[in-house]
Amino acid sequence: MIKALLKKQFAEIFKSYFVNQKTGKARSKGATIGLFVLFAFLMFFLGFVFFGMGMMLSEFLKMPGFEWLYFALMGIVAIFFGLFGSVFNTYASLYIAKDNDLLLSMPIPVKYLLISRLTSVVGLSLLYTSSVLIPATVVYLIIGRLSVLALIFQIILVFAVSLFVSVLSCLLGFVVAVISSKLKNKSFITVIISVVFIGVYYFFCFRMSDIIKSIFLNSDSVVKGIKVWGNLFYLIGMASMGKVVPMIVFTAITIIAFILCFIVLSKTFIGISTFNKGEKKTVYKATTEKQSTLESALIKKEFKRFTSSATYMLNCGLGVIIMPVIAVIAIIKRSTILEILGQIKTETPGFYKIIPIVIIVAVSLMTSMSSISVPSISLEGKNLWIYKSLPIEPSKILNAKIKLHIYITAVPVILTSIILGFSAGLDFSIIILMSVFLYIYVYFGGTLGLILGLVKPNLNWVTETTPIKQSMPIFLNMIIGFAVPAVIMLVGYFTIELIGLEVFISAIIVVFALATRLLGNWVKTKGVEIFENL
Amino acid sequence: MLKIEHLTKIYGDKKAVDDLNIHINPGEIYGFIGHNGAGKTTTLKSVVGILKFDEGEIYVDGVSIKNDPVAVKKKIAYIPDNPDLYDFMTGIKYLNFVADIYGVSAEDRTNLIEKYADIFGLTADLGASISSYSHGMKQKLAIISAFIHSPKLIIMDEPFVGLDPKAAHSLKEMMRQVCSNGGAIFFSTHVLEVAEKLCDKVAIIKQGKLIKSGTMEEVKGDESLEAVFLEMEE
Repeated sequence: MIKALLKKQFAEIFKSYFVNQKTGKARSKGATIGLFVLFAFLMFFLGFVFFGMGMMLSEFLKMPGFEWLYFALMGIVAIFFGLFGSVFNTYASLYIAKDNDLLLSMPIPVKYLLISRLTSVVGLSLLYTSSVLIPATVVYLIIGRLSVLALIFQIILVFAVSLFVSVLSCLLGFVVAVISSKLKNKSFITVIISVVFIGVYYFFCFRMSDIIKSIFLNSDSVVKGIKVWGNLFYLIGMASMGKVVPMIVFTAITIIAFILCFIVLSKTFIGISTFNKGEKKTVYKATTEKQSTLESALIKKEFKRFTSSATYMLNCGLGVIIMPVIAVIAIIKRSTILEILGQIKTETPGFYKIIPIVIIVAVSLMTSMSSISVPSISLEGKNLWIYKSLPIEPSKILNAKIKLHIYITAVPVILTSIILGFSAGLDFSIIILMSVFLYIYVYFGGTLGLILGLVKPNLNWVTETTPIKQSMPIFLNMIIGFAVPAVIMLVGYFTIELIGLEVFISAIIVVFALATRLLGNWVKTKGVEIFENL
Repeated sequence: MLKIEHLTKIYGDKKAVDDLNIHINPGEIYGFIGHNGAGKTTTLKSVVGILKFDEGEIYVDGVSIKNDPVAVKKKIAYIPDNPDLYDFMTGIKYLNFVADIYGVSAEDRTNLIEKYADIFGLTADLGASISSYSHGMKQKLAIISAFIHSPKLIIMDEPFVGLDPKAAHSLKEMMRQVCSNGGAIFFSTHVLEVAEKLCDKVAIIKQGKLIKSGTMEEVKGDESLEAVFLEMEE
């Protein structure tokens, strides 16, 4: 029975490697091998990143009495990385698995079900923690003083730390389940938390060498801190050095915690697997309803669709979030920017002349990160019958999808271009021209995105991540989003000397306005035809 | 009210609907029966403009769905067999969305939502997300949204599936009310007892072809509708 359950669990995890999710057809052997090679490459790349981090911390390996600190720090990274990577998967596979009801209705002991679920949790934790701990061992093999026992313990620790991460994932997964069932605006809160995570991630990435330097400078207090409040990390560090007692203590703590976790979960599995069904009921009280125009109703519907999904907002609206951040930084750092520009003006006057084009290209690239209209047709999915059975001109539906893209993207784009232009000390007339162009570029991007989505729609998705993240229109939109600003940059670089900045920006305004008009006409004719035949 | 003339719909090399002719007059409840895959849903989807058909014509009140789909859709309402509604909306938001599309005034929609939500016992749940609704509740919401603009013709695909007995009874009453106000109902069903009791006329479709249609008496004679249907299926 356990074998059958494990087979099902692994088939579920690796399904996308063997079956095309869009068509439901089996992938060719070549495609499957290609996907596994890609996965292996990604893991290798990830390992390489942590190898770099290990090399930076390796100074501790050269300091007698401080070697354990290197492993303790890598252990902290492994635990947090493993936890960050596997907590949502644990939440999904334990608490909201779609086949929980089906499997619970079968004569399967709960503990067997749990073993199959936890196998994938432990497997994923192992994947994440090993991508940190194996490179850490490689660094040790290169730089440290070799000990066979230390090496054996480090290998055992990869599994022990993974087990420890799994226990933490189960606990945090439960917290996520509780929060998800209580919150009303889940998608907004998910977006805020994700943006904070991304912000913290980039903060640490940019300041990694400073942080490591500060660890070296304050190593005494770091050691004291870890020994006091992070005794587990101290155990990991000491065990990695081949110390038997810390190894036994850490392994014992992990195994006991895992057994306890398993016992608690098996006692409460049925309750927690149906946990999300206990949402607080909102009782509606009749009130006078308000009437909206057809256009307004369509826009509101599209807006609600966008804001209802954190995946949609984060993947197709990231540019909208990033732009205001850049604008605020530009205001704060205005004097530094002006200083740098002053240097550029003196040292490379040729480059200084194209600064407005650089700003246009930079904002255009950020605009490309807003792809709201691209998956909007595919996201209709099984709901498409509603639009098709209602008395609405298809062109109005398509127009609403473009408009939503413009309404959400245009304001931050224009504000950012004005602020960047102001921070760079550009003339008012240039700032106005830049803003006009970028508004048209937003319109162009929204229309082109909708066309891509119309030409290659995918209405039969299982999860909305497919049209939002893994579709051909999204990929093409990304390529075009990089290519068009690159072309603008190139053409601008070679023609500004000849025709002047104002003429160049005016020319690209005309070109993109015409292109947008042509695309708009295509949507009204061919686009409507495609939509009617979906 | 509804004229389906020589309707043909082809999927690949298979004729899902083959030269189908059905006329429905005002005041009629018209049942549409046939085995799974006979072509019922394809016909209904063609009538409401969801599917484009290959041959024939469909008129609602004399207006062709091919020539003026928006005008036709304003006169009709559709309830699909599986009510996949917008999960990201609450029930009341969905009803307001549909009412906005049909241009239903604030006063009319307030009254109609209150009336139909009360009939189906859905009032308290209208503020909840549709994603939290059961199949039956979604079906009730789809029915309310279909009645919200007082359509002349209602097209329903298996409307009783998932409804509790009280809701099913209420729906039958509402269907009769539409017809007594000069409207018409065209619906598919597998529940032959319901069709027998409720319908003025019935059409039986098999492999895309209409094999029998007319008043209930004309179709079944002295036999039960079930007996006639099973004979035809043999």
